[in-house]
Amino acid sequence: MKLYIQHDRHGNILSVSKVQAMHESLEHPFGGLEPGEQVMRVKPSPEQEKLDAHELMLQYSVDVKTSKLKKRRAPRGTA
Amino acid sequence: MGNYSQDPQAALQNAIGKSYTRVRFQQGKPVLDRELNLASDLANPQGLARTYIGNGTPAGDNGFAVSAVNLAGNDFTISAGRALVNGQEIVLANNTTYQTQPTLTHVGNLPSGVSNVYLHALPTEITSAQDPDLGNPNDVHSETAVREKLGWEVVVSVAAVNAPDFYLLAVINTVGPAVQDRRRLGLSTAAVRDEVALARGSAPDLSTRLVASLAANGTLAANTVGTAQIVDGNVVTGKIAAGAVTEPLLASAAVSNRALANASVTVAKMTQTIVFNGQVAVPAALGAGQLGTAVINLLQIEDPAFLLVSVHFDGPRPVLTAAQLFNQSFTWKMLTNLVKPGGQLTYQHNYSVVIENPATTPISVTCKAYRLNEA
Repeated sequence: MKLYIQHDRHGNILSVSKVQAMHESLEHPFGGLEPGEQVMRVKPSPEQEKLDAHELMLQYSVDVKTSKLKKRRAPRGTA
Repeated sequence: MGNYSQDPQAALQNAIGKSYTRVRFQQGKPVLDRELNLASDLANPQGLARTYIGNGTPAGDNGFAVSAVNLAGNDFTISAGRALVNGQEIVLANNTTYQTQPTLTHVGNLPSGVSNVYLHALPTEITSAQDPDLGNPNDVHSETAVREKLGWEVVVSVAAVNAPDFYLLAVINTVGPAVQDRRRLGLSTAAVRDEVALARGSAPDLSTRLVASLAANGTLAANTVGTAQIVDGNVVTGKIAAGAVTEPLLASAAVSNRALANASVTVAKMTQTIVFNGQVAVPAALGAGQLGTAVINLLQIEDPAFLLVSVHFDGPRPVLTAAQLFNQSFTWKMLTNLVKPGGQLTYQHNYSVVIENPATTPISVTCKAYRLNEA
């Protein structure tokens, strides 16, 4: 399984795809990228593999300097 | 036994043992009873018939057929006719029964179950005591020669009897009751010849006809059974071994829409390539009446693509009670773009799926897409 992250220049995740199979003609599965948007491929951790794609989008952001996923801070008032 | 200088049977066996075939009388010599008897016995065709013909019923005759088993009376019917037993002909002038036949020495109750019915030839010697004519009452007034008479008895035996003077007529079963005719019918050279000629058919001889389809051991010769030998509808599913019908044996166009069972063709049976299998997060709508959108590229090629696509709602799936209802939807559509990528001179088609989420929370969907081979 490969994890593709579509994000903006600030590291906000716009979409996530957990890919089992993809056609060889493609570099990534995302279409319609706007200027400033990027796609990175990461090796998911076991914890990340257990999450659905939308949960990854909500719980993580991208550190654009290191091109790594980082946990987002939980909103105030939440555990 | 008559008054012989030598037992005729012993004299005959002795002569056969010495390979004697005839008796020649000489002039001026006395004539002996044992030589007269031997001359007669050597000339008798009984031995020839017993050895080279065997027991049987002549063609066109129904002699000694067994029928109509009567369990209560321990009886059955014996038909009139002829039979050759131990080289001698036995003649029954009129129908009789087991219980009323001329000789009743071994007649008893029918054994229960299966038993064999035999015609037993019983040669007996007749003297003037049984037949006064043999006493020559009109001239010499004394018995000069005795006679041999062929008597018979139909006997029933559970055990098989394998002797030339026993001719198997039938096998009877008191359960039923049932009778199986076991006589050797058509015992004449003419009848056998007719049967062979009939069996030969249009072939020059019987063996030619047989080898056309049979091997020497009686099995069917190779390549004997063709389409013409199989009756329409005779080859049923039960006669076809599992896995016997393989693809090379199917004629082109043999499998039609009509021959396919409903639901028998699955995606796995089509020649296909999976072009995408993955879970995608679709962003939330920014507000009511708006849509969050994710575009999934499936493949980028110039050729036409026959795609089978499934888009499946994975989550979120809130934990609800049985009474609570849940209904959340999204829409998706295929999108085909004609594009010319930078750095290339050729155009290509970009086949995509566009997923639209009207909810104000993001969702996860799994998209699976197969490309079917056109050829």
